[in-house]
Amino acid sequence: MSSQAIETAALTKRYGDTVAVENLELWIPQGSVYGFLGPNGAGKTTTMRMLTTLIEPTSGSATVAGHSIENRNEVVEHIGYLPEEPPLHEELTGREQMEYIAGLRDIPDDEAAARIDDLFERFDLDEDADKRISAYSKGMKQKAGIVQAILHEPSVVFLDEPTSGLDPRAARTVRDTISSLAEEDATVFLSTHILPVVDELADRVGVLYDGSLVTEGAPEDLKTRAETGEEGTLEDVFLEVTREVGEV
Amino acid sequence: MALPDPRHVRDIAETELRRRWRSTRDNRVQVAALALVSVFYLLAAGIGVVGGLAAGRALSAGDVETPLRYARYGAAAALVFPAFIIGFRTAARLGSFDALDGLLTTVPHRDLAGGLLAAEGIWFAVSFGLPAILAALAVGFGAGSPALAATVLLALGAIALLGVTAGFALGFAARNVMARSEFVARHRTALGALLFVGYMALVGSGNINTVLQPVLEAVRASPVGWFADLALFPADVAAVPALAAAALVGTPILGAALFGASAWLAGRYWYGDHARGPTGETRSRRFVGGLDIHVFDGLPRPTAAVARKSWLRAIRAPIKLVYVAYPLFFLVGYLSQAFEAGEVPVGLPPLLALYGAWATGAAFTLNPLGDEGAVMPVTVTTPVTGRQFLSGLLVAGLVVGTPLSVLVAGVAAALSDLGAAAAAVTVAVALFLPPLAAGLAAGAGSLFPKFETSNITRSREAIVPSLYAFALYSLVLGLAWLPAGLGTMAADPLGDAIGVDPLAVTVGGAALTLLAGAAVALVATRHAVGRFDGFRL
Repeated sequence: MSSQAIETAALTKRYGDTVAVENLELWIPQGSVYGFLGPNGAGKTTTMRMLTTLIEPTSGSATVAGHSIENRNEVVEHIGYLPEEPPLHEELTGREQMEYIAGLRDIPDDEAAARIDDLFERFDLDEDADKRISAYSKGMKQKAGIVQAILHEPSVVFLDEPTSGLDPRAARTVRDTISSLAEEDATVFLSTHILPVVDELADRVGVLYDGSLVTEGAPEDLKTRAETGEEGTLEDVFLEVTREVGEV
Repeated sequence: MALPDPRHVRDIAETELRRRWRSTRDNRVQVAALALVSVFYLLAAGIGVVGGLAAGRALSAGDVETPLRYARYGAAAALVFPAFIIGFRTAARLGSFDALDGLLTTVPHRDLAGGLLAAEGIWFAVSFGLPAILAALAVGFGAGSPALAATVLLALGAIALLGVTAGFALGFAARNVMARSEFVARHRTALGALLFVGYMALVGSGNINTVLQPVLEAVRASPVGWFADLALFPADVAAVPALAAAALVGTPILGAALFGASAWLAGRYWYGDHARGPTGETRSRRFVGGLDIHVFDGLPRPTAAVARKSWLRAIRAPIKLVYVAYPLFFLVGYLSQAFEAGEVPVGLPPLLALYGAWATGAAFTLNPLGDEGAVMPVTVTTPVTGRQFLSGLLVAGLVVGTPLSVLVAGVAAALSDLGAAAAAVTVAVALFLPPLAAGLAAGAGSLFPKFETSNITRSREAIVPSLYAFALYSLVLGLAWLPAGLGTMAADPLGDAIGVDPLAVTVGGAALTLLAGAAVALVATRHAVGRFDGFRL
């Protein structure tokens, strides 16, 4: 068993000659928020899919919640996952979708109902719980996807662009939820392009470029490390790091 | 009303046709269908030429007693045919096509309507023009009158133009009704099913003419019939010159009026507020508080969740399962025969048992991985096992399929001339084959999963099983059923041929079917469970 929530060693994924992720080394402690940044096509989603057991790495290894990603049955007990597109059956109502996932996770009906009610209220979905998902707006679907990912109170949560398409109030709710998850000792692996979100929430930030981790550290450290000499923003750091590596 | 900008109309029509051509070209199934249709197209052109020549000769020889009357029916058909085809296409698909918002914020809506109408007109001309032109020329050639060929062509062109435009307007009128009526929006699925069943009943019973005839009669008696006077003007058939002239002059006027109506209706549809179908389910109507407590009681929670989800999705979007009804087309002949003769042919009960089993497997288990769609990444990252997941799908189908299969095959067997023993064997097959079929379907669907959506109607996309899974499943199940089917339908000749009692042939055939079915179902189910457990994106 690893003491880290997520730990990877030389994790690599190749598609033929194309390297999607190369020699990724991550140590993410339990109860922290890890901001995973990178331009489009850098390999963020591929990394998330490997860590959630959805694709197999070409080489290297990783553990999530102390279990090797080779052992899906062990890993999935502890993780929640929100892909970029909220994974929902449009024909079901929001509540039915959550009951479906709760059923797959074998959560007792009463317990599931209480959690669904609680989370729907927190995400302002309670009045729309019995509407079909096909009638939900993009933001509502995104919120339903997040509820689905944390319904079973996982110890490690993977969120791919969780604030995409959300209005400011809903985005605030998501940020508060991420904070409270970390306070409750869950680990949040957060991939997003919205840098202020990472700046506000992340304990550590990793920047992936062309499949490789090009920089990593606490947001404050990265900002002061920026070559501007003055304290910049996380956006400055991101642009500087990805430009430097691109030039090399 | 201002006229549409011809450059916009041309650009929109050109882009729309290019888009459709590329979409067809990139789809292997559509290319194969196009190749098949081309054969019929050449056949139709040949028939048009032969028919045209014969009509022209009969006309010049004075062999036809009332040519003008027949020609007026022809004119009516020439209007109704494009109006129906284009009306259906517009109502089903064209009314809300890709990039609509972008175009509506770029050009006036009448330009867009004009462009789409032009595209439809060109599509219709390419699809049906050549046989019609050849037939018109053949009429003139047969009659020895180039002038007759010219007037027939002119009349056909004019009437097709009006038919296409009228169909376009009717299609948008139907779109408006569908979009604005709360009743239609709420009961869309039921109304669609009713229309489908009604159409099938008319076609199956051979009564489609009873509907078409009054329509053609009414159109023939209208000014549409004047186009017959225009077409046959040079022939010696007492065509009325004033009516021919009126048809000629009236075409652009009526065409413009129909286009104006189309553009207005299109604008009403595109910019109007649409009624919404059912989007909510009150808790009291949900399965959780009702049926599933009784139906899925006792099942492990993950299995029950999968079964309940499958039912809910099927009930809310039954159109997704329309392919389950396809084999009924093959049974239409048998069913018509049974209705007309008032007795059930002995071949029908075993075929119904086969269909019941096939439909049970096809409904929920023929695409176990792909049918989860976008939810699949989450489903496989829950602790649900392949065995639990597959069991849920199997149960969802079996709970409905098995009793229906037994009931339908049993009633048919009781009403047929099958003996009591053969009827009992048929019922046994109807009872035991569905679970085996469901297992087999799961294996075929896992071997050939399909994750992409397909057009199930012209306006609706959904994930349906792959053609390969469909074919493999149907073939293997059909082969497995063969001993039982033959043993029931041809027990006497088979018994005579191999020198055993016919009842032994029937029972032996059914046993062989169930044994073979069980063997392949076992292998297939194990494969499906393995594919789910080891699923990777």
